[in-house]
Amino acid sequence: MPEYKTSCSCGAARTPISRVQPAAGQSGCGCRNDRMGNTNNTGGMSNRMGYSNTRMGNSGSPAGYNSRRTAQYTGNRMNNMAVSCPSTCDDQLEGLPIGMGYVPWQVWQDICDAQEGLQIGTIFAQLDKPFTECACGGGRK
Amino acid sequence: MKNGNDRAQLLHYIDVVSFAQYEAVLFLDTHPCDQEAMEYFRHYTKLRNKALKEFAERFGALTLDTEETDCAKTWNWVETPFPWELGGAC
Repeated sequence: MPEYKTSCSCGAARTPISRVQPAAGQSGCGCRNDRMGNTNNTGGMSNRMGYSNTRMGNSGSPAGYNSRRTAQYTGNRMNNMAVSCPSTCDDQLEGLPIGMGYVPWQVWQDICDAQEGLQIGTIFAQLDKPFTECACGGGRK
Repeated sequence: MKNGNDRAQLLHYIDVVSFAQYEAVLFLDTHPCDQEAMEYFRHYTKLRNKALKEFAERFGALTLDTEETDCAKTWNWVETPFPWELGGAC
């Protein structure tokens, strides 16, 4: 069984999620930062952690090599590594099935000036996302 | 668009209103009943058509739609520079 901290590093209270029960091996707040023990739990979490490490180049495996074996390997290595990924406690898609893509319905609002729209590539201010930071850095919303 | 503006400025203006118009087109493709988007599209279509017409009158037609042939005796389309030629739209 994985060991858990007594409180989540993100500061969220450890309360049951009302919409969806946490997945097996997942803590109450849904944050992935509060696991400090053995990560030998469900494949989904191990894969996600392993994939993240592989992409960051910390696993020592060739770039792009992302087999289940690698994921387990890197997952086990996580035991002795500080988890640096951002908190997902405010994940608005919490509870939705994984492996699916979501495109929220767009509403006609926040329309830029046409001249500015041509410069930034969209007339919709909400779509002005230059993505200048990496995913783990939060990016510009 | 005022008549005093030169060719480059008018071309840029056409780019702006064309882009705005087409953004509305893309939105309307998925929101065909959105009245605000419809109004935006109508507004910029009007501006674009007016600008294209003015450009055609002053510098030659950018599109065949605005090529004036009613009173012309020759085919003026080939007399004005194409986009890839010096002085064209590029």
